Amino acid sequence: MAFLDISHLEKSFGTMRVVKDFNLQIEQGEFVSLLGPSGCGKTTVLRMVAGFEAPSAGSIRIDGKDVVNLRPNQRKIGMVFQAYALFPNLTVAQNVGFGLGIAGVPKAEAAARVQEMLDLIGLPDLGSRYPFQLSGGQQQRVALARALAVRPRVLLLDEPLSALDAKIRVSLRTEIREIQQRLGITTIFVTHDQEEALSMSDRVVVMNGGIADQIGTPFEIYNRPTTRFVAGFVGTLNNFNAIVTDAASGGIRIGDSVLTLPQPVNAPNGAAITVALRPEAAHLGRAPGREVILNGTIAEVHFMGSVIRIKADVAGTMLSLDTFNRADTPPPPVGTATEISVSARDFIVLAD
Amino acid sequence: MSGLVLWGIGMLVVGVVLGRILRPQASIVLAALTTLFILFAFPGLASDLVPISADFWPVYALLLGALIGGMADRLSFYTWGVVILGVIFFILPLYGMTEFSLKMLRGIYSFEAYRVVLQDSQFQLTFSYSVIMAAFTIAFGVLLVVPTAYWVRLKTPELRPLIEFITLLPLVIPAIVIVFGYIRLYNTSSWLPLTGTATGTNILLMFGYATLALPYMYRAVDTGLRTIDVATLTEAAQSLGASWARIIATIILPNVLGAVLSGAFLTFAIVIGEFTMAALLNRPAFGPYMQLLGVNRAYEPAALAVIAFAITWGCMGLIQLVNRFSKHSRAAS
Amino acid sequence: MRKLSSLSANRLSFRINAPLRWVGVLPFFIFVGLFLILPTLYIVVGAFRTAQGDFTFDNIIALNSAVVRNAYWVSIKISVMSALIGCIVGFAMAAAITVGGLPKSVRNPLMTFSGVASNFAGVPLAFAFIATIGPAGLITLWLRTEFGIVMARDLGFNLLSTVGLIVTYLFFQIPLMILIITPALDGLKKEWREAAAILGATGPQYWLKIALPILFPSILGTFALLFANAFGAVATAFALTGPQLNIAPILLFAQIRGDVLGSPNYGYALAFGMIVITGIANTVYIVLRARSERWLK
Repeated sequence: MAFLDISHLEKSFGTMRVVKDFNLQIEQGEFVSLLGPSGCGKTTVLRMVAGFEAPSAGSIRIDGKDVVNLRPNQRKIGMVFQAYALFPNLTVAQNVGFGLGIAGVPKAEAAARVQEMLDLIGLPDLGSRYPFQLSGGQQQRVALARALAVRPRVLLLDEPLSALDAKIRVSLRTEIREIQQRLGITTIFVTHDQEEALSMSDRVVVMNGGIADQIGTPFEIYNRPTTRFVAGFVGTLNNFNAIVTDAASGGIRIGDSVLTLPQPVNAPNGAAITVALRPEAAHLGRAPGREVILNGTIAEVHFMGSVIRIKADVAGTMLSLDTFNRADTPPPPVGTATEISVSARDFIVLAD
Repeated sequence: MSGLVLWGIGMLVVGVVLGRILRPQASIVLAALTTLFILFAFPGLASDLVPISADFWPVYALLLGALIGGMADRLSFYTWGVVILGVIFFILPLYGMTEFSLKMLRGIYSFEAYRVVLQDSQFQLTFSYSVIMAAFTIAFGVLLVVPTAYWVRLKTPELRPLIEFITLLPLVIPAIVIVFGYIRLYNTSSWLPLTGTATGTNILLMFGYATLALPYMYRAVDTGLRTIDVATLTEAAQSLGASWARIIATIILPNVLGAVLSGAFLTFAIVIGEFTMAALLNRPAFGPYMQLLGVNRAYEPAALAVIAFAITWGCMGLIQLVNRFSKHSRAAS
Repeated sequence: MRKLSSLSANRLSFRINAPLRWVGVLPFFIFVGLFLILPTLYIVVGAFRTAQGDFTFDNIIALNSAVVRNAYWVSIKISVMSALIGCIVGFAMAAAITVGGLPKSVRNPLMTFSGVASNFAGVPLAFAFIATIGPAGLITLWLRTEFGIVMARDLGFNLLSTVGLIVTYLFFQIPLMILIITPALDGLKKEWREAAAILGATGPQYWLKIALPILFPSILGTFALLFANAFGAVATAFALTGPQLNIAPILLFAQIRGDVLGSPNYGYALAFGMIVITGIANTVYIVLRARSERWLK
């Protein structure tokens, strides 16, 4: 039995169904991200777990017990908000110790726990400061400490890094993951940034239009997307129009190149399908192990230092591929005809 | 506090306690109370069956307390209750003065009080006096505040805190003190003998009104200027050859017209109702006229109060209208 | 300072540019100087002068007479009570329309009405209350005919008294509180409530530990403003009770009209005392408002 079990969760606002039949089982200590564009329902799911929205249907079980009928202050859950939400009239130490005070923890013990938390987030000396004296990154760390101080069963994070600068975002990302692993706390992380989701999570839930399109490890989500939406949302995709030549053996034709996919094609011969390719799978020129040769014309070359981003016109599609800078080989000029080698295994057939 | 009030509060408290104990049955209490109220309001219905009488008011207080106690868990009960009670407190005096003003002719509702008032020559004299004074005050206020606020924004922004502080002073110093100062300072034996003549006193009163309205006028115009880029507009106009007066008149003023009108309507409301300055300077303004009428007459003052309230409401309504229109014009540009 | 050399053609206009900068605000300063600052200063200085012009504290000391002390005391009492009740009721109503979740269709008319009611003071307000709960008022008669309750005897309430004045003042004090405290209540972020809840706090605990402490400067500051507002009001009191009610503004009014206190400089002292009290109250308001704005950034 999973530690956090969300089953058949639904939420409607009037006639608008925001969350449709959402199911997710999370083991204890797991870090799961809800990833998706704005309006996909990920925040609504999180708020239902927290208790700020009441589900229209479905159950949320934590450690076997259904919490849907409990109020937020009875669920023993911690939450970190996008806007930090630190209490402005309390010091950092008072903020972190707020939940402990409510729970009636004796003062000495609470003070020790507060200091332990401040050490954990790396701000041991800022206890007597007020929130308006802290930077955004510091405030968010204090918010994390505040949520963790009461030793919640589950930790919820609602796009906690969205309001921060890019550099802080990256460093805080690592910190949050480290703390989570050290404490072993079950965590749900909501974000629209795929880099965050992929780099931090044990598993990712890609959400679209109120339903979970795919649930899997970051590797699975990225390399084996099961829906067109997941394939397009996570990472960059080059989409090619292909004609099926031999469905049984997986033969397709892209432009004037014929290749054989490792699995049969689920479409009749002569049908037009879409196959997708990640940029890192394409190689400029010939290379061992990549038996498929596509012919294209260089359209754009962007020299970005260590990486050169090249766009080539291949059979009507603008293929985007990255290649590393080599000091002895200048990048090809625009307009030259070029060969791009790919392995047939790297093609992703998109289910429509 | 009288015994009756204590008795009533006591019954209310007992009712609240009862209501908390009987909580699940609160809906029954609500139903009983509503029924009682309806029967009380319409005595013809079943008055023989149910004891509807003012003598039973302690019971009613008890039931009301029970209702309050029983519904204690629902936030909406409190929020709606507070607002409804507040609204009743505000509606009652307005209703009272309106009803009273219609009762001049015994037994029937009529506009007799209004007729008498509107035909009173003193009313016409003082009302037109105050309206004219208001017009002058508005004109003077606009002429003083708009260029000043504009200049401060553009040329001397460091003076802004000082000027804002000064414009708040009329809210701190009571009007009576200001007019006291006028009387002592500008009387016939001073270097600026304004109170010596009627015209001089009128001018003095107008300056007094302008002082009272200064905080509102300045804040309105300053807010209006804040929303338009004063510096850029001025530079553009200057590069096209406009003089200061032309800039203010044709560029700045139209753009802050909404704010200026808001300040103007507020000034109008203030001047029409003003009493202290006009009374102490012995000018025939509307405020002292109203007060004098209140001493001698019964129904006419109520009619005047209705008129005054209507004017105040009208001014506020016009301000809202102006704000809504200026928002549209800004959005369209 | 700009270099003159670059503006050779406009030398004359440039040289008078520096003092010219202040020309634009001169009319304003002349006006407020003559018709706001100077009269006030004249009063303040006059409070410390004898009829002959010598410096003295006598006028201030003479304020300690029974009549004046009583007048100030009654004024303070009325101002404190109307401000206190105005604060409590106004806060409750403002809370109902903001965090209480009442719909916009209730909030907007209430705000508009508050704007009107806070300006509807003075003589007409007194008339409205006289017509409603005065000796021959609507409610008074209704209580007598329907319930047999005589307001003055059974409820101990008389409109033409300090209690009556307090009730009348509430008509503009409560709306003023609503107008000022509603933006502050709007500034209470929803996330604070949610964060407190998820940390285990109940509604009352949130209000006690978070919301009220945050709002406290605003509330106290507005209380000071309401106090000053009531303290300086003349017209309503005058129209309600005539010159008989002994409050400071009425006393000053009578003094200006007819020198009832015996010496003109005495009136200065009275006015000076009023300025001091309202000045302190307004300073408290400004200081607290600045402080609360820092938290509600």
